Amino acid sequence: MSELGLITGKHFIGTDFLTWLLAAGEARGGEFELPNHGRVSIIFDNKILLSMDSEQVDYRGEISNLEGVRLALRQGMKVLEGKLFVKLGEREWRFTLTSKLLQVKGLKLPKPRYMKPEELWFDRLGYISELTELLDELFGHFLALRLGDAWETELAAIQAWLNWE
Amino acid sequence: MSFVTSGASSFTRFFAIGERPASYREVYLPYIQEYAFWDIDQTDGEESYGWVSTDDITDFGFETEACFRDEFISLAIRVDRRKIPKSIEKLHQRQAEKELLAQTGAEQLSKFQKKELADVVHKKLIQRIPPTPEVFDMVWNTLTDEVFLGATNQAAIDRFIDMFTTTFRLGLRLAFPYALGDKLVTEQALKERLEELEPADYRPKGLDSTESKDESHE
Repeated sequence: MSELGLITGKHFIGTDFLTWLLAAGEARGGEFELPNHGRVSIIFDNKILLSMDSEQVDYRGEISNLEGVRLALRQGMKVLEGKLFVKLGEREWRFTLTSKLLQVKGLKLPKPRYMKPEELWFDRLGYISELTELLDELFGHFLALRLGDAWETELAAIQAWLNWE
Repeated sequence: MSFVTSGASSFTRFFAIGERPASYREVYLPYIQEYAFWDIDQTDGEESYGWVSTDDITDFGFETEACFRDEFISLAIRVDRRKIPKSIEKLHQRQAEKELLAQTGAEQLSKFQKKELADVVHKKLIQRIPPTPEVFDMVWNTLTDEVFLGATNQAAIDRFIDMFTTTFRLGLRLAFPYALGDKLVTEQALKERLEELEPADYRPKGLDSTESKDESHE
């Protein structure tokens, strides 16, 4: 399959990942325990774009009550992109993550530690790299579950959250 | 401004594929110079593009190794475009046609004459239109071969892939979910499962499928 064919044909891996991130995150109280990064807090912020076939539903504003999103997911919709808030120790990142190419948009980084241009560049690049390493570990964690024997248990936990009244 | 130091960064990730020379700074600097930006004012073209310094988009000499920062290579692509508004081009074309008719005393121009005139008008006008520059930068971590492009639109991605692969004689793969999975999953059995993977069905079993979609918008 060509690269373009893989991007389109396997796009569901990205939407499955973001949907898992939302549902599994909520089911775990917004926290994941990762071998390399330790405890990380990941919360969907004030924007979630859901899709199913050609239909899209955009949730904006306060998402403290996810009932509408859960209903949509119960009907088979999946997360196309979402605005995320990530906290690791004292460091915080805010950005939109897309499912198709895992692009990061509108990223706000933790406060820089240095202000001289050269140092600032390395400092901010360090934060960008730290975020992508963290996202890679999360994605790897999702794939290990998805491709392994523990998926049925994980799926049951997600479905329980979706059904939770 | 570089996406690295921008207040709200957006980027697309790639992985460089292929063998990088051990003394890559010495090898790559002439490559970068070869595909450096070419000032559009020195051409009558509508578009000019190439590598420029990330810190200064008017610097495209690459006389020093400033684009190499520790293990990173930091470069920007500058694309200058001249575009004539259609209405202006039509106006000048009509004027030129009238002048030619008056000069020759002919009643009408042939298709060939019109086409020739259109080319002359276009060439004259294009030199008077100031170019609009577009810049997007990249950072390449040569230790991990991870490449960040400070852009997310398809045109910039296509241009970047073309520039990167031509300049550095390497492959470049977008870090889209399947490609990233293929890199992260190392066990052969799991790789095969990834290849055969079907979309997950998160819907709870036994759900009443008639549940109203309108309800979900509340």
